Amino acid sequence: MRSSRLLASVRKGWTISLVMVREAIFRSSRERQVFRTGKQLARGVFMYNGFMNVMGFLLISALAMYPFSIPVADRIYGFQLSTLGAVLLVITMNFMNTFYGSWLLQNFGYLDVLKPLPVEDGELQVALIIATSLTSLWIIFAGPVLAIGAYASMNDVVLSVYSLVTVYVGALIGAALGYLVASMVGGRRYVTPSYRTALMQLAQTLLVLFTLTAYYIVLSIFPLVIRTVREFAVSLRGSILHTLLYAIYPINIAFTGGDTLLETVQLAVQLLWLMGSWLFYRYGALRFCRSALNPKHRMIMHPVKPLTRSVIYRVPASMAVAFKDLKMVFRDARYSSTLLLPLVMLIPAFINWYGRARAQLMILANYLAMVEVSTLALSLQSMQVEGRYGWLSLYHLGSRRKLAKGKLVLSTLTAVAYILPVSLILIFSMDIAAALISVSCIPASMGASAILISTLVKGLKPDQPIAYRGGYIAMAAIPMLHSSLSFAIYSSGQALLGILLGWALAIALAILGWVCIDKVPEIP
Amino acid sequence: MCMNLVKRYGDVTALDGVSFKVDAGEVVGLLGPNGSGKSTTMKILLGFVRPDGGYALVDGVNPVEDPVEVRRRVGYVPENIVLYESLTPKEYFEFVARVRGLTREEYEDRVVKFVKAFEIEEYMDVLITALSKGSKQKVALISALLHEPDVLILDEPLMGLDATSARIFKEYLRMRALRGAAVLLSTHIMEIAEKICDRIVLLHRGRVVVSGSVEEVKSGLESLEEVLLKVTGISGELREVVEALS
Repeated sequence: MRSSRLLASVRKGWTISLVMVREAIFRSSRERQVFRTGKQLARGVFMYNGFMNVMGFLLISALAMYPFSIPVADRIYGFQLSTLGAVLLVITMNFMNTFYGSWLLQNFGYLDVLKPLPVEDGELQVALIIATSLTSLWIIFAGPVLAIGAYASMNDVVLSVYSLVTVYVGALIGAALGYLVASMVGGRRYVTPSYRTALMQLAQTLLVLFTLTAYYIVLSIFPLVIRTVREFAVSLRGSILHTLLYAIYPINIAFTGGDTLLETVQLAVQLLWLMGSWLFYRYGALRFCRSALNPKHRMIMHPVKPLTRSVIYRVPASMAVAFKDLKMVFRDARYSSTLLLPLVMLIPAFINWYGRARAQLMILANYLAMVEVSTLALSLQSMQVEGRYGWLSLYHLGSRRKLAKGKLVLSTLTAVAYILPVSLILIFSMDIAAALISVSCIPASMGASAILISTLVKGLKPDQPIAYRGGYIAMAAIPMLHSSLSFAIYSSGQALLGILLGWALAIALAILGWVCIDKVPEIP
Repeated sequence: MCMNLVKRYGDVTALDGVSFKVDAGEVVGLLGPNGSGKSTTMKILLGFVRPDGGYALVDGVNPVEDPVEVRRRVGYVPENIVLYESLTPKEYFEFVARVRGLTREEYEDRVVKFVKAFEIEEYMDVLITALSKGSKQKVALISALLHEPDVLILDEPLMGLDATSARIFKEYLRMRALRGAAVLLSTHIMEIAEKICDRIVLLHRGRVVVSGSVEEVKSGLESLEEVLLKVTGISGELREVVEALS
């Protein structure tokens, strides 16, 4: 009786979900003829999902390739790592997909049609989970891709099926969690500003995590890909394809062991990825999250449009301004961060280039440096949003110091979420010195965030734009230098010096941050 | 049945002790000026809104306790219709029938009948988005009637309908009432209420100001419109208002 009822619910949910997906696709294709909200919804859902599909598919392919690219002896470990990575990936991405999709479906009239119809809550939940999962097409392909990868590397059907099943179970778990959070958001009509900000920060954190994870995985996989392709090219020696491949000079050098070019290409990819990640983060993820979670202006800005605009319009505009009057660069953080932050990020990339003896470690340094910068940027962004929309005035009866400390806790949690897994991996790989340096990124990040937040809160008035200017760049550069320098010294063989420098800088920043945040004036 | 319904939105009291009853076989007109509480009453009856006081029963079911069961028994047409515009009317009816759990035979038998009556056969394979407002209204009406409910709650159901379809719908409502259905109808067009309603419930500022048969409510006045103007207290000022506009 119970199972037949469950089956009926799933069937009804399936029917509703198909109609909702069709409606969403339709709204996205109608362009100008649609209502504003419908168009924005469709763009939001589908451009976002398009991005998620591409990212997800690339990441899952990289994970599937991973055990295939490592020596036979390590393949079991590689297989476990790639399956675990795949499961975590689908959980996280389907969480975001369902959270965002369900929330939007609830807020953009998709459910109004169902109001007069006898639809139980459970049936609606099934419909929302299926509808939002259906728009994330890459998850459908994720299982087979990983299964094929597992079979190719392990030659074991059971393990292949195992990876297939775990991916789909992970996707379902992610979808269920996403729906849960979406219900919490969508179900509350009057969401308090602080609650909304916290959610926004959560969403931002997850999106930045995607970017950083993708960056890290691509950098880790890239040499393996090149090696695999090179081995493939060598195995083709004498064939037509071989001749064709060798006809292209740069590829010839890259594939036949011209290490200079290979490393140049690697460096170029790293630099491009760093810049791209930042641009995406600054103009895509943040704006997208802010728009999606801010009911005051339901503009759904998908990541592609602002990203394109920033590349085509903003960067040249910033450079033109910079050449005309250098002071202008620091006048507005939009210009300065666009122009300067990618440049600041080149520091660890170059250190990486010179310290290629321990390239993987330097990639880690890059990762941690980006984490620290991202944490700062999150603090900044949330303060900026609160200032712009007058939410800060709501706190005026309370305590500015309390607000500043609350923001600091959120930023710290973000940093901890990023850094701790890296530290644990290092501890498990018995690289205790590197683990100690990586843990020092937490107080360093916390201290830098505290300085930034306290500066902002002190100078903040609801009716004025936030004055954050050049200090932002300086704050961004300090943690970059912290992780890059300490890891650079460590990779040159000076482990103790690396640890000491890392912790000295971290403690100095933490103390400075603590003093600054404690100096935030209370409102009388 | 509504018993002493109270609903407040912040400081505004939308319903202030509204009570009335619609018996089986009756068409009751819920009338009143804009903002008088008609739509709120209907929303409470369907379980979309929770009352702050009093209670409602629809076919013996309390919409607060079991809103899904109420929606199962009721055919509802909202004032602002919302449809999945990516579907054709045919697909939409199939969708509604599937969600309502109708058998294939029931669905085919009924849909053919309604589609023919409301003259939308030629639009059955056209996307709803491309239909006129009147045709969309017909789609909403048919989807509310498809499961042949014993209770009909209709908020401005004739909006945008052509004269023929409006006439057919009015006749259909009378016929359903004769067969034992309870119909609650909200409209701004007083002539319609006069023609098809057995009883009138007139709301003003969240209260029932007049209730009874059409003749009782009119009580010597020429039309329901006169009654409405009288109870809202602007009949005397009407000429001055129009002259000010001109």
